Amino acid sequence: MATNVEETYLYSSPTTFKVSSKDGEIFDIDDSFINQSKTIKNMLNVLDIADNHMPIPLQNIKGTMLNAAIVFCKYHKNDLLSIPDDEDEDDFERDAYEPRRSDDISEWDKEFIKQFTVEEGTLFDIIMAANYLDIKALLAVGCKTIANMVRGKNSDQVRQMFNISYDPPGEGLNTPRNSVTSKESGDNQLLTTQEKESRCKTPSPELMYD
Amino acid sequence: MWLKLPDVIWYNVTCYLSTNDIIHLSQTCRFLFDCISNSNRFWCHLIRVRFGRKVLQRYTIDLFQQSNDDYELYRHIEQETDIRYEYEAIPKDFFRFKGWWPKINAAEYRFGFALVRSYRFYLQRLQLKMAVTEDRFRLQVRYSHKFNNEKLNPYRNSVLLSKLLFYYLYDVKRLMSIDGSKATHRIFSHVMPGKYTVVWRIQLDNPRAGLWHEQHVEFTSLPEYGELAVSSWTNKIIKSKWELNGTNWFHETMGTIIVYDISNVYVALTYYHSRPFGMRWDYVDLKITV
Repeated sequence: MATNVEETYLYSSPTTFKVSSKDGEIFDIDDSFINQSKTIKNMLNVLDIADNHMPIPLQNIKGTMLNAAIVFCKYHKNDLLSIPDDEDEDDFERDAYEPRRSDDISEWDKEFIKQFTVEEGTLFDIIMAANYLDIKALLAVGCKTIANMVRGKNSDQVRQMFNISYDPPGEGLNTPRNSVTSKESGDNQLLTTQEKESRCKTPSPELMYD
Repeated sequence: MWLKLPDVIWYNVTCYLSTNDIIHLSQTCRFLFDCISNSNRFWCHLIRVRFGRKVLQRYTIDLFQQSNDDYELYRHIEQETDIRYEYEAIPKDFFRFKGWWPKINAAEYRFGFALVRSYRFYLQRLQLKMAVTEDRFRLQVRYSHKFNNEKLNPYRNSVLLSKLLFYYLYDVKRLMSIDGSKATHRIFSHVMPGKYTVVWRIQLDNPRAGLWHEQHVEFTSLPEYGELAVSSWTNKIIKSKWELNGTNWFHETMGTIIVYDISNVYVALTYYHSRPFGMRWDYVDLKITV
């Protein structure tokens, strides 16, 4: 019983602060968010805000994204410790020939990130928000999602997916064999991506692979 | 819009991608090419993610800043007369060899020469550093597995150093089917300085696999400019391996070699009288370690 009382005491009076987004929406944030967002944590340390009724302005983030980030942090408040800080690991057991796993996104995270992948551009926003707020777990989920999108696609498909127009990378290893000549490049600007792609050959395969 | 993502995010994404996917991504447009394929920072990042901080430090900084100025060590060897005196001065227990001893006037003379070189380095080992210059690295780097060295040749001087280094580290350093006959050996050519563990893949056929009497079978790896490693197996060890693995192929670490300068590494499996029976081996890997 005693522990229960203690817990309720801890969670009934969390330190809450207010933040405001780019479009003027105001949100309450609590420990779960502050602990996971290094940016906010540092801000609070530096600013030493006594009056927690004044919202902290976050000029780079849209209200919807800020809301989503807060929801994400609420859900993940307890697994803070389980995220390895892999910056410093020197793990020789791990196979250096394999990239890190990106298929280990949890079900909840998958559902969470789905709302951003359906609508063009919002995945970009949530990743930018995660980057700005420095929320490691959210950033990892976002990057894994992009990695999963890129995996197994050739350059043309990646270009199509990200809606990137093709500009030949110029001199170097990856210079396409039939790169666009300077004469053509003028009218190329008028063409759509797809038309451009049909005119340019796919860049040469990676040099050092058979 | 996607190209507005900061470099850091793309670096983060590439942690989860295979090398092929990374190359495809870098070929999509100029921004990603500059950000990934054409950026020293990126390849250093990838080396750190895949191999760890210590390897990054050693291969991108230390090796190129250090040098050995004792040129006596590199004294040329062309004929056996050049080194006969040195060869005979090598104590027999240096090699810890129970059986075969490589001669310098027989078929295995290259192995013998390498032994002399290695002994020179062994004597000086406390003052030695792992060192290489960028020019020599660019000129001599070779890939052994799945890579095409021919195609690399025209680009040797223009590819980013850190990219060449990543592929060197990433490359599987493997020699297939080591012959078991007495005096033969295989050579890893142009191995960069560093520490490598030598891993053999071995299989035992039946519980009675082993050697005649009290004999040994020896797994030797001998870098020219570095310290060798010898593992000696007796019947007792082979028996314990059988109990562990049965008839499955298994990997066995046969010591760690230290290479101080770009070297050929000679690998041999040797025995005194007769080939170990019921035992097969198919490849040797050099694995980078720190």
